[in-house]
Amino acid sequence: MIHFKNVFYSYPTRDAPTINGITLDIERGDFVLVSGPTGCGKTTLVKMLNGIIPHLSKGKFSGELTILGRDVCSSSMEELTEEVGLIFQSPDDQIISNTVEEEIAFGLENLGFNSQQITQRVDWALKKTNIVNLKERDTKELSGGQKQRVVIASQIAMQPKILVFDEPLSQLDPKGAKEVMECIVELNKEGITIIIIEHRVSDIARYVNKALLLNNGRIAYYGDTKQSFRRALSIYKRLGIQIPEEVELSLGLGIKEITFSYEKLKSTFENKRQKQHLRLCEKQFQASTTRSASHKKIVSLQEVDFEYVKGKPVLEGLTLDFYEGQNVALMGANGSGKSTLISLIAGINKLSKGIVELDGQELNSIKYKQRTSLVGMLIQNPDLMLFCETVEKELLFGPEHKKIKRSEAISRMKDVLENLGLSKHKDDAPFALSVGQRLRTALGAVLTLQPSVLLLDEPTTGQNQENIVKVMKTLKELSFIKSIIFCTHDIYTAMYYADRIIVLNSGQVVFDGESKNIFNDPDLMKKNSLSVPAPVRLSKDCGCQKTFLTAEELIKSF
Amino acid sequence: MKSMALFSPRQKIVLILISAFYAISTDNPHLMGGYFIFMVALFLTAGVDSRKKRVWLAAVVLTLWGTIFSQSLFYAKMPRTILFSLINKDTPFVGAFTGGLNFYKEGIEYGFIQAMRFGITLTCGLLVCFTTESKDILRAAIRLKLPYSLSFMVSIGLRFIPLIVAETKTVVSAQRMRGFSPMRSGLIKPIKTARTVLLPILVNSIRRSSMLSLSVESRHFGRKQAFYLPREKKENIFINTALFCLGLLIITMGIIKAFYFLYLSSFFYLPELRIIYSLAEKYI
Repeated sequence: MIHFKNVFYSYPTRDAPTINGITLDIERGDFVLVSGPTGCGKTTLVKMLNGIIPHLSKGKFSGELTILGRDVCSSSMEELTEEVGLIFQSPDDQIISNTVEEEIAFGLENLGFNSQQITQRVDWALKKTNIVNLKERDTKELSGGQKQRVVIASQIAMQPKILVFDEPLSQLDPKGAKEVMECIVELNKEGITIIIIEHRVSDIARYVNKALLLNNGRIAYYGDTKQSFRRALSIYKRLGIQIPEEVELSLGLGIKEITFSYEKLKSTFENKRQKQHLRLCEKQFQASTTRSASHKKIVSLQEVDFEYVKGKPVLEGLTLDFYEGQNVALMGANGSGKSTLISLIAGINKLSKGIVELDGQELNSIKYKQRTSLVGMLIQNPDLMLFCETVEKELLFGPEHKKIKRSEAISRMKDVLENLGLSKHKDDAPFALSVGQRLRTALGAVLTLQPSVLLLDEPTTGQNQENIVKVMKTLKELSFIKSIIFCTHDIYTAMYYADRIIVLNSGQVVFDGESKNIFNDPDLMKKNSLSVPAPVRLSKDCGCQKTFLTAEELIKSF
Repeated sequence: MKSMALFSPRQKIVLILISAFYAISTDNPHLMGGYFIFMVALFLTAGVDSRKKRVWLAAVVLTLWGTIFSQSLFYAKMPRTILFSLINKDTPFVGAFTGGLNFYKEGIEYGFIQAMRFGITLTCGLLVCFTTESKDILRAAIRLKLPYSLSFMVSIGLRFIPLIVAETKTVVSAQRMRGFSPMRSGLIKPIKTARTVLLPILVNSIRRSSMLSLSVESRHFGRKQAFYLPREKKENIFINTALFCLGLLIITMGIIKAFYFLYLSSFFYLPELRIIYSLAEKYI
């Protein structure tokens, strides 16, 4: 169905080819997961599938690429887009209409279908994506998962044979991601070939039949997904790609064929415990933190109210204290008030009512320039924080405006460059860097101001595992940071790097406690769109005395 | 009743066209001021939320103030009457160097007319943007026989205005968190520091627009064009009549003005048209 033979592609601005001699075949009905480190050529590869490359790109293309028997170079984009639908990570950047049905109808209008045909196709697409109830809804009012399904519906309405997804889950909370994945799986069952790029390998690996692993524009592995984790496990680990816990458990428990079935994992685990009389070690799970929590309040919120629109409070009567030495994860579904909460601590939004104190001083009484050494914030889209010509200037910008001595500013800048692995990029333009590097540059720009409290708004969004680990490890080791407060949907990041988790739901705190205790209430997890990792479920269901967060901990405990 | 709820998207586009033509073709400060007040009244009764009203107010105040202030200082035509001097030309050193810096009465009048031109078009444009969905504008533009690609670009541009406003706020907040306040300290600093605010927004907009164009291209944009759900609301006959009369009035004014200019530039003169020349000179 899709045939690559010795395909090379170089962007006009780069010497080295981004796609470097790829040869592979994708069959009808395949469900292919494309993974690899940032900049390995994943997005470039999928852009070839509907002719964006080579037709809309000035780069150098060579080799043979056919899609459904059509040569990509000699076919027009119109012909190719009829067969291949392309869906990107941010639904907000793809939706152009006011209502769901108009959005789905857009492609059909362009194909010149009459009103009756359009109605039939729109209804069909709504049904296939399970959003019939959203037909007349305003697209702006939908949740992230719903919007992404509208985008999918608008593509499948044109009945393509191949659907290509570029990180469709990266901006969604677990509930939204689950909704979208269920929808994609159903479409694959209908016979549509699916190709999906995603960093969240754990959320997807169970569904796909083929894994394509890219590195430096070359194929590092291509074949059966389950086999890939046996044959190419070391490559996955070397490239910093997330390995699903189920895979690690299968391998650790000695299951012959890797399984994603929880029941199978559970029965094997129980058998193994009985047969070998395994005694689980008494080691308690501990969050991976180097700080020691004190009782000194560093941030305090008292009876805080906040509303963006009059009469629709986002936070109401919220009282919370954060302590020195504590790393706190804020969790909850999209719209629960996490980002609003940290924006209030940062002083970005003005309180409707209540008091926020930073290190014992009321926030409003602290001037902006003084605040910078108390609190720093990395916003959700770090690209909006970058505006200097070079990484070095970006890092020096804050200290210069705070009138910190030049020598001190340079010393801070050098430390941050080193800590964040940006030294070799110091003269590069921030906008020209990769996603992970841009995130680290924006973070570096905050760190050179050495804030006591660091606020991170979903720092893991769109980042691969390697970047997440790099950044969080660095932050843990910085002595000037007294507390990190971060929003995340990623339960692993929360468990590994936070001592305390706060779960918000409609602006109210529904859980506030030590990280290890969050799994004690399954209902809470479900209601707040939080996923429970397989090792946690296993240790709970099998009556282990301890809760094991990762497969590695569970296996090591034997 | 919200004033703009009476207008269909097509009528709103016609209102923009009429207002733009009016703003260009009129030089009478009373007529300009009157029309501006009419637009402000429409805006204030349109049910626009307070956040958007603040955006409009800031834009209008800055534009009016900037235009009148600059024109009153730098008015070059003669005759001109000095109202008061900021720097007298007899002031030692600075006076000789600048040649004096004065506020001119005629400059204020001229600045007022220019400011009204901007104020009318800005108010009308924002009013339509704030009260109309982008897809409705597209549909209305198509009904007015405007080219599809152009109409589509305009409607998409309008759709992203709120996003860009939100991003600007985020950028400014993020910069404040780094000890830099680009929008503070008077009127000059924001101009000097505009680059730091605009650059990330521009880069992000380029990324977004390239994503959007790929998405739209993958849905066969511009290949053919049918219309689904042509549910444009029934047009209010009163508004249609009012717009027709206003349009007719403005076209008439335009024609009168054109004859007057032809006369002034010695291209065309008819003694029978003296009443028209007089009308143009005194009232338009």
